[in-house]
Amino acid sequence: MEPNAPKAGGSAGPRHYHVADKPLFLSGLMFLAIAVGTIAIAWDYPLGSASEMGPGYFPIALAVVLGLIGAISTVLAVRTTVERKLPAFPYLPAFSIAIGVLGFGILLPRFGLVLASLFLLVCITYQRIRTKPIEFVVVTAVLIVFSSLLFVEFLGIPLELWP
Amino acid sequence: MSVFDQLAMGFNIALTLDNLGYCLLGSAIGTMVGVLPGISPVTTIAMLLPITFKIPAVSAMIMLAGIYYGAHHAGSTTAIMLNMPGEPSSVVICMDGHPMARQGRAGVALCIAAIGSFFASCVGIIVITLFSPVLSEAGLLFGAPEYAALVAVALMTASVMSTGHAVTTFGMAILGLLIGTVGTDVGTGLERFTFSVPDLADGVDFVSVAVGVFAFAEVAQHMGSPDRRKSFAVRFSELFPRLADLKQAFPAILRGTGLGAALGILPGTGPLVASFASYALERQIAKDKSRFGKGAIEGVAGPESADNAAAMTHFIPMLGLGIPAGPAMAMMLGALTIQGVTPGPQLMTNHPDLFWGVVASMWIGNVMLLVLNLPMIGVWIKFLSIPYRFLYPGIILFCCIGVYSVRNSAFDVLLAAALGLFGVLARQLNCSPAPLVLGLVLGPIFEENFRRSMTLSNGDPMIFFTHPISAVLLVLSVAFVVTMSVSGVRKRKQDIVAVADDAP
Repeated sequence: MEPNAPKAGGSAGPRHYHVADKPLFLSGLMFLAIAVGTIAIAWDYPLGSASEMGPGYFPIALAVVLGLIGAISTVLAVRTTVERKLPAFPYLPAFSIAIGVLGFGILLPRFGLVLASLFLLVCITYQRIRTKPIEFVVVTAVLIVFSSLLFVEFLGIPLELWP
Repeated sequence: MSVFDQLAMGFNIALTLDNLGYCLLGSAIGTMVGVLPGISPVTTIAMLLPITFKIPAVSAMIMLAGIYYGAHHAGSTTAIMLNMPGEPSSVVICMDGHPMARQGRAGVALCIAAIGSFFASCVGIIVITLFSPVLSEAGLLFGAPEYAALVAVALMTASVMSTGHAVTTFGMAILGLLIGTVGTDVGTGLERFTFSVPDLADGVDFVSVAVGVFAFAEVAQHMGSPDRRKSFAVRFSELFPRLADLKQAFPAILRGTGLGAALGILPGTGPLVASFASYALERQIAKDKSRFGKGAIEGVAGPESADNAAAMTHFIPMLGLGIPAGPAMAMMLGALTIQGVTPGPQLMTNHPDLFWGVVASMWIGNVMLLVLNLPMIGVWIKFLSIPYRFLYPGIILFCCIGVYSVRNSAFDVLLAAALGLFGVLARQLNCSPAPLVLGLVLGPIFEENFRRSMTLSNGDPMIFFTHPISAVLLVLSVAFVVTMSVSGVRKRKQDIVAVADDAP
C-alpha cells in the first residue's frame, strides 16, 4: 500500500498524493512541456485535412499523442506502488562535457582543430590539471597530435589545424 | 544467378587484400569495444564515420559490420572473467559465467561462449543469405500503407522491449518522430521548427543526436562513478570443456541460436532482448532451476548464442528493406546514405556487390573472431586495466570531430552538446534513448508514407487494414505488445536486470 505521508511533489489538500515513481512523474512533465511547446510553435503551420495533410498536421498529431503520454505518465507515477528515486544527477561531468563540446563547435571553424581540441580536452579533464599535471599534458598532447594526423593529414578531412 | 553464384561474387570482393584488412580491423576494434565497458558499437561507429567517407562503400560496411558483430562476440569475455559485461547484452552471462570462472572453469566458459558465438553467427549468416532476398523482393511490393505499418510495428516493438516503463519508451519514440519533422517539409517546402537556423533546413542530423544521447550521456554517467576495479580469484584449472559439458551446452546453443535468429529480425528487438529471453528460457526449461546463478553452463551457452545470432539477423531489415532494426543499424544506414547508396528494398538489386561482399565478409570475420577471442584473450584482458580516464577524452574528441565532419557543420556539434545534456536527463528519468534515435531515423519514412496512404484513401484510416500485409503487421504487433505486457515477460526481464545490477 502506498504510504500516505505527504512528500515533495505531493499536493496540499484533504487527500495527500504521494509521487511514488519520481522519474516517471518528471518524464511525464517533460513530455507534456515538449508537447505544449510544439503545439505552440506549430500553431501557425497550415494544417490541411486528413487526406491532404499540411505541414502542421503530423507534428501536431504527434504532439497531441506525446501530451497524452505525458499526462498518463504523471497519473501512473502517482498511482503506482513501486517506489523509485531519482538518481544523483552528474552535474559536473555532464556540464563539463557540454561546455567543452560547445566550445569545440564554436572554436573549430575560426580557430582550427588544435585550439578547439585543446579547449575541449581542458574542459573534460579539468580535474587532472591539478592532481596529475604531467599526465594531463602528455595525454592532451598525444590526442591532439594523433587526431590531427589521423583526420586531417591521413584522411584529408577539410579542417583547418590553426586559425 | 543462384545464391552460390552471388556468394562467389561476394567472396571475390571480400577476399581482396584491402577488404580483408578492413574486416580484420573491424573485428579487432569490435573485440576491443566489446571487452571495454563504457564504449558501445554505436559510439564507435559514430567516431569512425569520417573514415568511412574516404573508402569505398563495401569496405566501409565490411568494417562497420565487423565492429558490430565483433563487439557481440567479445562482450562475454569480461562478463565471465570479471563480472563486468562489456556490452549490455552480456549482462546475463555474468550470472552464470562468472561463478563458473570462480569455480576454476573460466576456460570452459570462455570456450563454450566462443563455440556458441561461432555457431550462432554461422547460422545467422545463413539466415541473412536466405532471407534477405525474399524480404527485399517482398519489400519491392510494399506500398505506402505497408511501409507506414512496418515502421509503426518497429516503434511499438522497440517501446515494449526497451528498458523503462512502456509508456515512457513509447513517448521517447514519439519524441524521436517529432524531432524528425524538423526541417523542410517535403510536400510544401515550408520550414518546420527551424527557427531560421540554416543548418536545420535539412533536418536534424541523426549522428549528432546519436552521439549526444549515447556517447556523451554515457561518458557523463561513467565519469560520475568511480573506477571500480575488482579482481576476483579466477582460476584456470580446467581449460577445455569436457564432453559432458559440450553435451549439456549444445541443446542450449541450438535453442539460443533459434531464438536469437528470430528476435534479431524484428525491428526494435535485438541481441539484448535475445540474450535475456534465452536466459529466461533456459532457466524455465531446466530440470534443476537452482543450478542457475551458480555456474550452469546453459546460462552461458544459450544467451551467448542468442546474442550473436540476433546480432547477425539484426542486419536483415536494414539490408533488405532499408529499415534499421536498432540504433547501430541506423548509424550504418547513415554511413551508406553518405556514401550515396540509397537504402531500401532496391539495395540488393542496385548494389548486389555491396550486399554479397558484406555477407561474404561476415564469414571471414567470424573465423577471424574465433582466433581473436580465444588465444588472444590475455591481450584483451590487459586492455581492461587501462583506467577509464585515459579513454574517455579520446572518445569525446573523436566523436566531436566525427559529428562535425558529417556535414562540415559546427551547428551539429552544438546540437550534440545540447543533446548530451538531454541524454543525461533522460537517463535520470529512466527514459531509454534507443527508441528516440529509432523514431528520428524512421520519422521521415513514416510521415511520408502515412501522408501518402491517407491521400490515397481520401482520409480514411481504414486503409491500413484493408491492405492485407499492413493489416497483418499491425495485428501481429498489437498481439506482440499485449502478450509481452500481460505475460510478465517484461517484468521478469526487469527483475533479471535488477539482479544483475546488484550482483557486483
